[in-house]
Amino acid sequence: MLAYLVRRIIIAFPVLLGILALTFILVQMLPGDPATVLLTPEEMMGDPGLIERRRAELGLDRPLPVQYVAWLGELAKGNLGTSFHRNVPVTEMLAPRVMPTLILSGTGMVIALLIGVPVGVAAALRQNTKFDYASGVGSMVAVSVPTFFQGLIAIYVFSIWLGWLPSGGMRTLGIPASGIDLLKHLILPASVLSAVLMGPYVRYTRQSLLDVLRLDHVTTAKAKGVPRWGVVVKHALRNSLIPLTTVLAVQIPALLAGTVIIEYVFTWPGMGRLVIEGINSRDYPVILAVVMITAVLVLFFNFIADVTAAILDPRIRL
Amino acid sequence: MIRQDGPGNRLDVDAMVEAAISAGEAAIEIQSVDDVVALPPRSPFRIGIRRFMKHRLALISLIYLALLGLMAVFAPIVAPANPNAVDLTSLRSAPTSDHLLGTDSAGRDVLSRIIFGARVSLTVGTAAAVSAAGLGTLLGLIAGFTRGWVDTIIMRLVDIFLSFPSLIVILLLVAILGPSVTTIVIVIAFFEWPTACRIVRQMTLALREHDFVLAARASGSSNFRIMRRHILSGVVSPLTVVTTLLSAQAILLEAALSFLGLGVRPPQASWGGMLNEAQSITVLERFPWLWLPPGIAIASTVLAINFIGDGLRDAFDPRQTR
Amino acid sequence: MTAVAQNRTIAPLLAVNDLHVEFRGDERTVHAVRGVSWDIRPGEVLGIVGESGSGKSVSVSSILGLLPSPPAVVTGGPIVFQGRDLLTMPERDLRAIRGKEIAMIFQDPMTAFNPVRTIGRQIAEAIRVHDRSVSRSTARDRSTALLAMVGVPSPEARFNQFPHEYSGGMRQRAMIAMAIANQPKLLIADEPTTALDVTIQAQILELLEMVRKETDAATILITHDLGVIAEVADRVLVMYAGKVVESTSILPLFQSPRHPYTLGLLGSLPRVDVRMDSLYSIPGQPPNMALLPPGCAFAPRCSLSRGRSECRERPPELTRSGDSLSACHFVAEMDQLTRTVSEEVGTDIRVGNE
Repeated sequence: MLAYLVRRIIIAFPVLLGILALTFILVQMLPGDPATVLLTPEEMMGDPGLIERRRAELGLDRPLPVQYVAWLGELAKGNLGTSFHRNVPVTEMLAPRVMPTLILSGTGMVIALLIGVPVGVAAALRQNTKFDYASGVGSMVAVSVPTFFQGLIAIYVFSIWLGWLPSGGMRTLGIPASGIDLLKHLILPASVLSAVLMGPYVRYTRQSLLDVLRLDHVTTAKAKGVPRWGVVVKHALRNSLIPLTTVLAVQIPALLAGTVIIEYVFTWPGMGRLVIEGINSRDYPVILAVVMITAVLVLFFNFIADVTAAILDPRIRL
Repeated sequence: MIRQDGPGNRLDVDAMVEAAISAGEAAIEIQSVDDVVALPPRSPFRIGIRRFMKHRLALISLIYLALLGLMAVFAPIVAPANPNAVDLTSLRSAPTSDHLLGTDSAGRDVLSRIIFGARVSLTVGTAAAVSAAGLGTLLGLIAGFTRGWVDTIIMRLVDIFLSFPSLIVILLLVAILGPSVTTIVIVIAFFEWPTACRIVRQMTLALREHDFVLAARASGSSNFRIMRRHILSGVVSPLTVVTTLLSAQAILLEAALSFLGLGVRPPQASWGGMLNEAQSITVLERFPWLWLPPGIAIASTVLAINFIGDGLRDAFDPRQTR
Repeated sequence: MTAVAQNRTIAPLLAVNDLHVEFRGDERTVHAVRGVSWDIRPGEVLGIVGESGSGKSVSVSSILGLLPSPPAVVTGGPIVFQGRDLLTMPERDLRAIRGKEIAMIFQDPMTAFNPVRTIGRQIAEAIRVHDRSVSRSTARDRSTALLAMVGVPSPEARFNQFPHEYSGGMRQRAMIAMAIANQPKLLIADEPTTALDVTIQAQILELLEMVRKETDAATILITHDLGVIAEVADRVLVMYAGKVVESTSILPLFQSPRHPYTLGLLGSLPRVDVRMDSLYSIPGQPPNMALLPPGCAFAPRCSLSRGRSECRERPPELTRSGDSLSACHFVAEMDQLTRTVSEEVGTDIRVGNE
């Protein structure tokens, strides 16, 4: 088991380096000379050597590979750069946004799982019935209607028309923070977010279970006299959930993309919203920090998925 | 990292790969066993078309898309007004006989903008998907066929690209490079090729071990020829399915970009861009014609494409129980 | 041959009557089993021989209701076991019989076991599913004892291992252990040795024989290998294209085959004990089960038929010919055919006449 984990980490390494390298290349592609960015026009005109010195200060005159290594070094120290827009360390800007994003995306995923997997199981067990057909079409619709449109409709129905839920933000200003308040604000965005994930979850669970039910060992269990529910739960379900862990991990990029959009539509104060603001204000350090963090997170979650799969499936541990 | 034998990304890649492989293999089996077992000779392509025809939703969707395409091509004739014509006297006015879907914040006719908006969505959808599929197929074939370190490098690239939060990077790149339709197409294709690559590679790996490939090799065909004749034909069916789904994704991406204000810029009409106006509660509440039509347009188009993709998948996989 | 098999007046343990199984697909229907009837007595070993597609596995799977129900449609019957019709029995009662009165051993032990659960737990499950009062530890002890009985070394340790940690032969032994866990009256072994190496095959056959002696169970052994049949069977059914074409006891099968297909099978057996000039191979291909000819299904490949119209137009019924049952219009000419083929092959292909 340990050997397996070590092997997975070793494979992950080049991908991590690749992510970092690509991010660095993106940095280089950005228009604008970092040296001039925080200088005022007067400063620039008054002192012709200033730009050169700033460049030297920022280490921009060194060859690219050296810059890359230096950049990596800064990363390792936790220095994610300084925001162009607000001139504060990026880490400071990111910190308060992390939790809200995690709450939103985490809840979204949990809702999608809690609804998606049982529906997928039911659809597989009732194959080719109206329920199966309806759930299939439903998943298709959930995935086809753009997330932001779903968000707008949700706001219209629940916030404007019915008036049950707030239309955005994470807290109601003026009243003390409470769980209920958070919940009221969380429910709509998390539900819309879960819709995008639910489609694939239902599909995959259904397909996986159907595939497993066709396998020989299920017939053997039946031949032994195991009752139907026993066959499904003990012999089919667990086997079919194993590939699902990979699906979960692989859906993370979609989850993150959805989170960005949802945070925007619902003015949720998370990292997604920060990125959009950053893009609009051309605040490259912020954008890049978020890009990199999400890529690393994806890598991390894939690793977790591999570990979980290895725990569930003894064959993988070889 | 994403396991090499695992599924791809947000599309049903795993299910597709399974279906694709069995479809590809089954199709090939039908071809070779055909003479032995006295089945009436039917090419797998024809069997596929027959099955597709039976899938009513897919058929309806195909017709819908065809009509949409025609509408987009003949937009100047079909649209009742110039989509960019500003009429300052009727801003955000409700639907009337003059403006069947009302006007937007700049007094432009919503219906015409919807009709012209189809151009953007369909162009982006097709162009991005086809480019991604093309690039992905090329790399996938090479990776699957040559194996070795070329394969490893390509697959690592795929892993890296799939780890990146594509939406954010796309936003960034479009912001940098400027929001023209061409840029958007290129950038989207840039992030969609890994999916196609993965599938093609899986198919190639499966197919290259098949007897007829080994036979071709034994008789001295060059690698290129083998790739072209034998493997490419087996790859076509799953590739069609993937391309369809990629185009659905591309359309959604473009819509999201334009919605965030970072895609196709006004005055050019784009469905996502039209939804940009809907961000204020006022608009949501009082001017539904501004945001419902474009949203429904996007949803119905993507839904139609997805149904077609589903139909194609069913059509090409004889083994799926449906 | 057991004494029991000689006495055919004892009531059968299981009797299959006119079984039909169809597989209904989108575009065509396959008649996998087309009116098969046979029975087996307590303690008897019945061999079923045939090519892939002959319907042997399908007919036997339908006994326990194991065929996936669309697309399979089972008609005909009844299949009588202990006075009851298995085909019309409610599912609950059928479940009580599966794994307890009638047990099945499958062909590929690798896929027949659940890969994510230990072998031991799966054997214990077979026990506990039929007797809720058995505690976990008792079931565990019994399973371990069963593993020991079938010859799996270090059974206590092996109890906790997964299927992929066993070797092929050991897995098959474990499967046999699981099948006999509840002392069934009827054991159905579907190609139990096909997936194994030849040396292991012999061991497994020996094991099956031992198990049979211990438990006195009747055994149905399905195989395409005549050599296996020769070793263990009391009686044999030869199946072709979904029908029984010959039904006889073991010696008459080898000494005086009453159907040209059987003859073909015998002739294509490579023999090491006599000289042969050539192998006799049955010409043609197995039939397309979705497009069967109207008459005898074997006619297109049959050296006896010689294109005669009865063979092409009327399907032959199973009729008595000496000690055997045979489905052939021209069974009277079999002796002549046997001689002709023997000349071709260079030796008397009837076994036991050297």
